Parts: sequence; structure tokens; C-alpha cells
Amino acid sequence: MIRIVLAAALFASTAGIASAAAFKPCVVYTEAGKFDKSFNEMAYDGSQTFAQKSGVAVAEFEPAGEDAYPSALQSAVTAGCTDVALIGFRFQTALAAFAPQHTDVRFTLFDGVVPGANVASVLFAENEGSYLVGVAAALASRSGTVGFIGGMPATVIERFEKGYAQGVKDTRPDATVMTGLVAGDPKGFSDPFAASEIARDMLRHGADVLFPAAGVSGLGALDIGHAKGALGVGVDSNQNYLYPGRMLTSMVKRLDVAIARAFEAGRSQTFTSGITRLGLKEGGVDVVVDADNRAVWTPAIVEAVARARQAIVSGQVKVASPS
Amino acid sequence: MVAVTTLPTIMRNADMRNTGRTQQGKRRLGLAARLGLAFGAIILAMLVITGQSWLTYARVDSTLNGIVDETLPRLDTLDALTRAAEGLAGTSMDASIATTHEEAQATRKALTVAEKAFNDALRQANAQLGQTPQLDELRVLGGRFSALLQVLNGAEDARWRLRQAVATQEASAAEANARAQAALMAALGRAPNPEILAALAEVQAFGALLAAPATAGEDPAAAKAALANALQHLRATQASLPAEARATVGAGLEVLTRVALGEAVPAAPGFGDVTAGGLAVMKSRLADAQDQSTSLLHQSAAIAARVQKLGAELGAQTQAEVRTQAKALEDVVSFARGLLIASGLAGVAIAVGVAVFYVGRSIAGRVANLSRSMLALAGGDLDVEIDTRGSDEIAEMARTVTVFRANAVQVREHEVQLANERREAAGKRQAAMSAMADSFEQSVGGIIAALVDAAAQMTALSQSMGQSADATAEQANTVAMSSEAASRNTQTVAGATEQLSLSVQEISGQLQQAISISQRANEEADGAADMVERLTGAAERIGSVTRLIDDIAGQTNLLALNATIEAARAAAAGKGFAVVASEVKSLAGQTSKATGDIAGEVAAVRSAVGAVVDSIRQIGGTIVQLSQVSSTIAAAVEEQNAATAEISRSISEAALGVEEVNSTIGRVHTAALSTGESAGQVRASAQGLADQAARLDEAVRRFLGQVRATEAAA
Repeated sequence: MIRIVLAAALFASTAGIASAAAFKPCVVYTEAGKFDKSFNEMAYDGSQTFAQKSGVAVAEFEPAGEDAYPSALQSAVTAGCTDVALIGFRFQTALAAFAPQHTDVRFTLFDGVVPGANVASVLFAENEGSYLVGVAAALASRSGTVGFIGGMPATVIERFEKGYAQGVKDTRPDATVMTGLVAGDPKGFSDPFAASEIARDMLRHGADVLFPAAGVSGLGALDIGHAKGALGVGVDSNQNYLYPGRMLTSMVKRLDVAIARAFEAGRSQTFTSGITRLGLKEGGVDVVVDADNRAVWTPAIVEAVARARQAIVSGQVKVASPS
Repeated sequence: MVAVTTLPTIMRNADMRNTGRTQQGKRRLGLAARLGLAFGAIILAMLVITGQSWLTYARVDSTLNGIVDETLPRLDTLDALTRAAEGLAGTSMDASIATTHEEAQATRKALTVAEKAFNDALRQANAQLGQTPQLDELRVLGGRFSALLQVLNGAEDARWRLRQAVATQEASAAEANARAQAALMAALGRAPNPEILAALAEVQAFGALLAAPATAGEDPAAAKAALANALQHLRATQASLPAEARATVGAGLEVLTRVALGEAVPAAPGFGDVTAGGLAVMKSRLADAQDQSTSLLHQSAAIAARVQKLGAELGAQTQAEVRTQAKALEDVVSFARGLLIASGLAGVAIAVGVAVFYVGRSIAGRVANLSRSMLALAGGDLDVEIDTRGSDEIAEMARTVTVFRANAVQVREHEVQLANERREAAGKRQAAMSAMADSFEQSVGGIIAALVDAAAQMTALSQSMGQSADATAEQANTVAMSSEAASRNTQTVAGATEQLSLSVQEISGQLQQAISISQRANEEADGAADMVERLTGAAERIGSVTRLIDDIAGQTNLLALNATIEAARAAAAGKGFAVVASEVKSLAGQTSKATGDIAGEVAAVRSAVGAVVDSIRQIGGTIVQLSQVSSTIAAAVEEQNAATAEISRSISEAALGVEEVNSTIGRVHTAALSTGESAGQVRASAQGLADQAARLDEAVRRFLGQVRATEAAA
């Protein structure tokens, strides 16, 4: 009897070792680093939550720049990673070249799409979250003019823009949605002064709600918006704390939830390649209402956003999406 | 006696051993075990103290560890946080007063470093300090500062780039403007013309317009449009200028247009280059950047100040905590000190208590008690209390002492019994002696009384016997002498009797001897009877002596008859003599009568001696009885027998004396025959005899008195 138990325990432990050997989760951050107070930090939080819950340590890689992405991927594979999470669509190119050479490694790309049997592309329905932002912005705006500032021309930015515009228009058809792009390339995510100038221009033209979806650049727009009395909208992570009382909301992408989910799939050997889209229904995106912005949310806004959420989750409203 | 007491003792000892064995079986706590327990208790107390000390020191240690492991790192973290906050504040200040590009670059770099240090410290603090309102706010401030810094970096970059671009463009614009003005002045010098003059003014105005500073928030498009408008006007004016001036001014205008409106760029998505769009746009953006930088620096200074304040608050809080912990530590230490002193005292008290109350009372005290009991026992106090409680070796010793006491009690009881027996035997012996003495007194006393009477009668006879009787009396003196010897022998008897009493005293120590002596006494009693029988013989010889005296008396009577005849023959002359003769005759008759009496008395003596023999036989029987009653007493009685034998011997010696008396009487006879004075002698002898008889009587009485007294004393 004891022997049987021992044997069972031995089996269980060897099985555990086997599964542990077959599972090593890793995260490759962008050069902004895991403490960027935004996308990377959310991924970091999610991976830490997973590590604490599962007891499996998560290895981390922080390349110094986009040129170092391929070598970071190589380092991860060399380190024995079995499940590699890549934070951001900017890994698309590197991964598209790298993944086919390492079919025994499972890659999960967030915010981008790379084909391959060993690649899971996790997209967020930014359009759905942005729709809710649009609804709130339309109701919060006095001038009826709201602005959107994208970092660069990209499908993900377009999803923001389209959803936002649709939300505004669906709520207030006469409203004007001004749009601007910081740059034509990824530099648009790291040029806050340009975003500031775009924001100044929009404010000069009557916009009183600014929704920048441009990474660090967006901070410049929010600074100007705050300085000139306009409402700002945070993006990716909750940025309401930046300007308490001067933020309409933050459109968060729950990367923390998504990365934990991806690692869990790897651990339980339920990894599936292909595109996964996480929307309002899946809890992948949302708008944040907290102590820093509750005062801005009038009952009308609360009510309209709730209704819009319901409509989207139920499928009553289809939010346009570029891809 | 030894055998009597030894056997139960052995049995008792056997019992003891048995009980001892059972006790041992039952015994759970021997002395060693008790001492072990006592020391165990002390060691336990020490262990308890040690354990307590350990626990207390563990408490102190944990408190100290709390300070060392938690508080000190927290202080370090706080220190780092405070330093980072100060760094933030300082670099913010530096950044706001930077005047050169290089300076600005350096301060921004420093700001980034400070921001990173601050956020690192903040993360560290997060782990170290947990959730506090200050930390929450610090985290928010850190986030704001990071965002702010990034925006500031952008603004500053743009500002310095714009400033450079503006300076370059302004220089080339100024040069172009100056060249255009110079050309116009030259043309004016050659041929003064109001149109040239107007153009000069227009160019100068454009220069002023171009050089005019922009204000933040100004629409660069409007400024650009104004410049374009002015340029268009200038171009129209230029077209109407004289040919030589027109070319130069035209070239200047080309430069000015390029500077003011920027290079024509192909339409591209996004904001594009910050320095694109011409001088007006650049200057407007420069103003914006300046404005934003200033605002951000103000903000950063405010945040830095707030961070500093919060850091100070946290520091104060932690300091207070440290003080509280230090106080707690102090309390713990002082408590520990008190506890240690208390437990030390308690340990000493326990040790002393165990030593005094347990070892002292339970062991030493009990041993002392037992020692006292044993001393008392040795001193003869058999009622002494012996504490046999407990089950250890001391209790076993106590039980053994109890056995000793029981043996001693038995010995004492035995002694008492022995003394009683001895007393009883002595009583019986005394009674027997008294009875013997009484019968002896009766028999011998009667004989003596008879002797006295006879002597008295002899005295009377001898007095009447005359001179021969005097001679007889004289001889009787010798008899008295012999009787003195008899008396001396009697005294020897008294001495022997004293020895007897001594022997009686020795009896108790010579028990074994006493038994044989008792047997010997028995034998000697028989011997005594023989002696007494010999006495009978002597008495018979007295009887024959008496008969001789009777014959003498008869012859004396014949003599007297002859004397009477002679007196009658002598007639008147012998008349007196005849009277004497008749007197002698009557004396002889009386003597004859007296000797007859003596014969009777001798017969009486013989029968009395027979009675003595009977008595002695009775004594022998009594001795046998006594020896039956007790071997001890038998010995005493045998000794008594020996004494009695001595008495018998004395009596026989007395009888020899009497024999001497006999021979003397014989000589009296011859004397009486020869001198006729024997009658007087007889009288004297009889008188002495009477005296001696009285003395004998007294001696016998004294002897008997002594015998009785000795008996009473024994």
C-alpha cells in the first residue's frame, strides 16, 4: 500500500519534472522596459501574477532597441524557453523570420499577427474599448469637437481611431472628430513634443477631449490637454492618475490578463496557434472609472457607456475594425 | 538466656530480610533515586531558567532581527528614496536653469538618472514598506514624474533643435535681408527712386517681421500665412525694381522665402519634422517648447518637493517605528533582565528548598532523627519513637533499629522475669531456711534447754558433792575450755555461713556451677545426715558417761555408807562426820538421780538428733525441690547444704569437745576417787557447763538469727 503510494508520488513527481522541463515561460519586452508604466509593465504584472500562482519562474529579456529584437529572441530560445511572449506588434517582422526556424518553441505575439503553427497572435479589440471612450467623450465634450492622435499609421491605431469615431458619432452625430498622426513610422510613439503640437492645434480648433493612442507621445498630448483645460484619455494601461480630475478615462488593454492566459495555455499544453481577439466580452479591453476620474463621469455618461457596452457584448452593435 | 533471645532474633532477622526484600521490591524511591530526584529538580529548575532565558533572548533576538531585518532595510530604502527624491528635486532645479544646450542635455540626463533611481527606490520601498498612503502617493508621483520627464525630454529636444534651426535660419534670413537692402541702397544711390525707397522699407519691415518673436500657443499657420502674404507683396514690389537691383533683391527674396516658409516637402502622414515649415512655424514651436518646458519644470519641481515631503514623512514614520521598536526592545530586555533575576532567584530558592527541605529534612533530618533514636535506644530508652515512614534506605535502617528495640524489649522483659523468678526462689529459699532454722532451733534449743537444766541440776549436785565435786568442777572448767573450742567451731560455722551468703551472691553469675553445687549439696545433705547419726552415737557415749557417773554416784553412796559406819564406830567423835557422810550419801543419791536424768536427756538428745536427721533429710528434699524449681536456686541450696555440712562438722567438733568433756569427766572420776574434791569440780564443771550451754544457746540463736538475716538479705 505504502509502496503504491510512494510509486504514485514518484510518478507524480517525475511527471511534474517532465512537465516542468517541457515548460519554461519567457517574456521579451520592448526597449521601453518592463517598468514603462504602460504596456510592458502590464505584461510584467501579468507574468508575475502567473509566476506566483503557478510557482513557475518567468524569464525576462529586455532588448536595447528594435535592432536587438532578433538577438533577444535567439537568447530566449537558447535559454531553453518553451513559451515566449512578445510584447507588441513591433516584434512582427523579427518573429515572422524567427518562428519558422524554431518550431519547437511556442510564441505568443501581442498586438500583432504572425502566421505559423507555433505562433499565437493575440489581438485586442481596441475598437470596442475605443467605442466606449467615444461614447463618453461625445457626452463629456462641450464643444462637440474631440480629437484623436495616433502614433503612426498602423492597423492597431486604426482600430482605436475607428472605434472611437464610431462611438462619438453614434452618441453625438453632429460631433466633429479631429484626427492626427504623430509620425509615419514607429518614432511616432516616442515624440511627445509632436503630439503636444498636434494637441495644441486641435485645442485651437475647438477640441476639448483628446484621445492619444501614441505611446509615450500621447503623454505630450495629455500634458497640453491638461495645461489647456481639455480632458485626456489614457491608453493601454490606466493613466487616470496622471491628471486626476482632468482625465476622461483610460482605454486599457488587459495585457496582464492576456499574458497569464497565454502562459497557462502553454503550461496546460492547450496552446493554440492563430489569431485570438480579446474584446469587451473577453475582458481584454475596457474603460477605467476610478477615484481619479469618477467626478468627470456624469450619470448620463455612466448610463450611455453601460448601454453601449451591453450593445457591443450582445452583438447588437458592431464596431468597425480595419482588420 | 543467650539461646533464648538469639533464636527469635534470628527468626526476626529472617523476617526482616524477608520484609526487607519485599520492601526492596516495593521500594521505588531509594536514597540515590531521591537524591537523583532532588538534583533532577534542581537541574530541571536550571533547565527551566535556561529555557526561559533562551526564550527571552529569542524574543530579544527576534525583536532585534525585526529591527535588523526589517527596519534597517526599510531605513536604507527610505534613505535611498529620500536621496532619490532630493536628486529629483536638485536635477529639476538644474534643468530649469540650464542655459546652454550641453547643460540642458546634461541636466536631462541627470533627471533621467534621478527618475530611474527614484522609481527603483520606490519599487524597493514597495516591497519593504508595504502599503502606506505616502507610498501610494509616491508611486503616483513617480508615475507622473516619469510621464512628465518623457514629455520634458521631447520638449527640450525640440526646443534645442528649434533654437538651433531658428538661429541658422534667422542668420541666413538676416544676411539675405541685408544683401537685398544693400542692393536697394546701391540702386538708390545710383538713381534715387521712390519705388526703390518703398521697396527698401518693405524689405526692412519684412526683416522685422521675420525677426519678431513668437508667443506660445500662437497658431504657426497664421504666422506663416502672414509671412507668405508679406513675401508675395515683396515679390510684386521686386518685380517693379530697376533691373540691376531686381536680380539681387530677387535672390534675397528666394532665400527669405525659403527661410520663412520652409522647404516644400512632399505630403507625408504625421506631424513630420519639427523644424519644417519655415521660421515662423519654428519660432512658434520654439515658443511652445519653451513654454511646455517651463511648465513641466515647474511641475517637476512641485512633484520633487512633494516627494521630498512624503519621503520625510515616511522617514519620520519609520523613525517613530524604530523608536517604538527600540522602546519595545528595551522593554523586552528589561523584562528579560527582571525575568532572569526572578528565575535565578527562583532557581536558587528551589535549589536551597530542595537541599534544605528535601535533602535536609527528608534525608539528613531523618538520619539525625534515626541517630537520636538509636542513641536513646542505646541509652536504654526503649519507648523511643522510631520513624519508619518511607521506603528508602533510611526507612530500612529505621526498621532495623525497630528490630533492635524489639530485641532489647524482649531482653528487658526476660530480665524482669528472671528477677521475679529469682525473688520468688529467694522467698521460697528463705521460707525453707526459716523453717529449717525453726526446726533446728526447736530441736537444738530443746536439747540445750535440757542440757542447761541438767547442768543446773549438776551444779546443784556438785555443790552438794564437796571438794571432790570441786575437783570435778575444776575438771568441768576444762570441759568449759573444750566447750569454748566448740564455741569457736561454732564461730567457724558462722564464718562458713557468711561464705555461704557470699556464694549465694555469686550464684547469679555461676549458674552452671550452681547446678553441680546443688547436686553436691544434695549429696552432702545425705552426708550431713550421717554426721548427725554420728552425733547420735556421741549422745550414746554421753549416756555411757552418764552411766559411769551413775556408777561413781553408787560408789560414792557406798563410800558414804562406809563413812557412816566409820562414824558410828568413832561414836561421838565421828558424829559430825556421820552427818557429812549422810549428806554425801544423799548427794550421791542425787547424783545418781541426775545421771539418770542425763541418760534420759541423752535419750532425748538422741531422739532430737533423729529429728535433726529427719530435718536434714527434709532439707535435702527441699533442696531437691528447690533444684527442681530452678537450677539456679538448686545451686544456692547446694551451697546452703555445704554450709549446713559445715555446721554439722562444727557440731561434730562440738561433739568431740563433749568427748573431751567425757575424758575429763573420767579424770574427774579419778580425781573424785583420789581427792574427793571431784564433787566441787563437778559443781564447777556443771556451772561452766551451764554457762557454756547458755552461751551455746546464744551462739545458736545468733547463728540462726544470722542465717535468717542472711536469708532475708538474700
